[in-house]
Amino acid sequence: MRRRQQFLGGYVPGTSWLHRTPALVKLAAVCAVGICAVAVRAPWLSLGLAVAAVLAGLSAGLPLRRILEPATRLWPLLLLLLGLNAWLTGPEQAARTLSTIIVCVLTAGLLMLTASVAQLLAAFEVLAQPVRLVGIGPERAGLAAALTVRSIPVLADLFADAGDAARARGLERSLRVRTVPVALRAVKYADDTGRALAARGLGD
Amino acid sequence: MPAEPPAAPAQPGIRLAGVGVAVADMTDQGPVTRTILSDIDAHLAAPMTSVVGSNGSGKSTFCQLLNGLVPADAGTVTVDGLDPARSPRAVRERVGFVFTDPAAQLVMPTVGEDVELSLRRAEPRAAARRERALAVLDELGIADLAARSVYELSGGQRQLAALAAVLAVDPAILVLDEPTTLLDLRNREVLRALLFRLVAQRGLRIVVSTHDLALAAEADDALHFEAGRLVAHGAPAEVVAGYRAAVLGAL
Repeated sequence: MRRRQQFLGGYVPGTSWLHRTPALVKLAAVCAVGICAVAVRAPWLSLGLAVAAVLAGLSAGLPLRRILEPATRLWPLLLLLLGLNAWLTGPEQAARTLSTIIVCVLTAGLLMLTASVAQLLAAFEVLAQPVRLVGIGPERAGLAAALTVRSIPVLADLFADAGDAARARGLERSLRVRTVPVALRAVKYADDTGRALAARGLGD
Repeated sequence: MPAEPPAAPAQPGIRLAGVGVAVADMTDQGPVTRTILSDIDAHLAAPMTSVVGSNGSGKSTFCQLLNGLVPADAGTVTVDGLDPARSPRAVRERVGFVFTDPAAQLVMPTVGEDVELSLRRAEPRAAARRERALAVLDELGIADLAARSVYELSGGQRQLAALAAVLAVDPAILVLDEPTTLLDLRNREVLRALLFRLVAQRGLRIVVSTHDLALAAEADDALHFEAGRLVAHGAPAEVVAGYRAAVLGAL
């Protein structure tokens, strides 16, 4: 396996108040902030909430760079949205839209930085209780979510391996050489994972 | 913290009587049935049993029969008196399985979380699960890997992490399918010593399919498969010598 950051973005282990807050509570706070920002759509409120999110992150001992990363990574998209909105709807509307997106991204990022995937999945299992009504166990739904999270870096590795192999053969322009091995290995990975889960008694 | 030795079963041992496995395949001439294993009769009760044979001889299928991953098409398999076809959950709780490449076996993002996942059914309290997971990792000497991402592990560390996830639920029998194939010499030695320690300390019974003939010869019992048939079963030194002679004689 290649060395690759976990999907759902780099949990920073810690014991701060924000880390100790249950994932479900943080998820509810993220939703509340998002709903507030979208409902009011006032730049001053969104920016205030964004500053509060940054301060909360700093008080939990998170580095400023990591707190701002979710927004800074999106800067080309944010710039494009700012330009389009300013052109189509005017600067005031553009500021509203942009500040709303920034606060949503920052608070969601804070959740990812302070809750491990296992904690998020446990929260997901609680939220997935209604799936019992259609005969699916929430644990099974949680496991399916875990496998989805797990398979994304694996698929990325398969694409990277296929790209390396194509380059080694001088066939980097061949779509077939770059995709067929990925499809075949993805099916094998799914088959292996199914057998491994069955062997661990997790699929019963 | 080593686990309590598992309770002695009423009918100890793995018994196979007239076992056959076949798969349907499609050829240019139409559908055909390919025999993977045929007429396997064996009783495995030794603490450590090794399984040797050429690639494609049926070793992996044999291993997968033992915890019900592959069903027998003919004959009967019983594991400590349990039929894997009728009681798959009970057999899988009793028989842990470790694959050659554990990459697909590790599901959660970190080693500790993956071991905890194995304990979800047995231990509903998260704190107790974490404690038990750490105890198993400590037993295998990899407690320092608990918070490590499974994507960052070396081959040897991944194999040990997969083993920890299986041992967490205290199986009575451990089946390993070519566990040393992807390991370097140092990690092979670490795993070999660990397997013998698990037999001595936990009272585990181990069945290991391997191309490592030194490991195979150190077991208490050995089986040699060729072309889907069990061609020898008995003292490991003799079985391994016979396998080596057959391979070298064919060259």
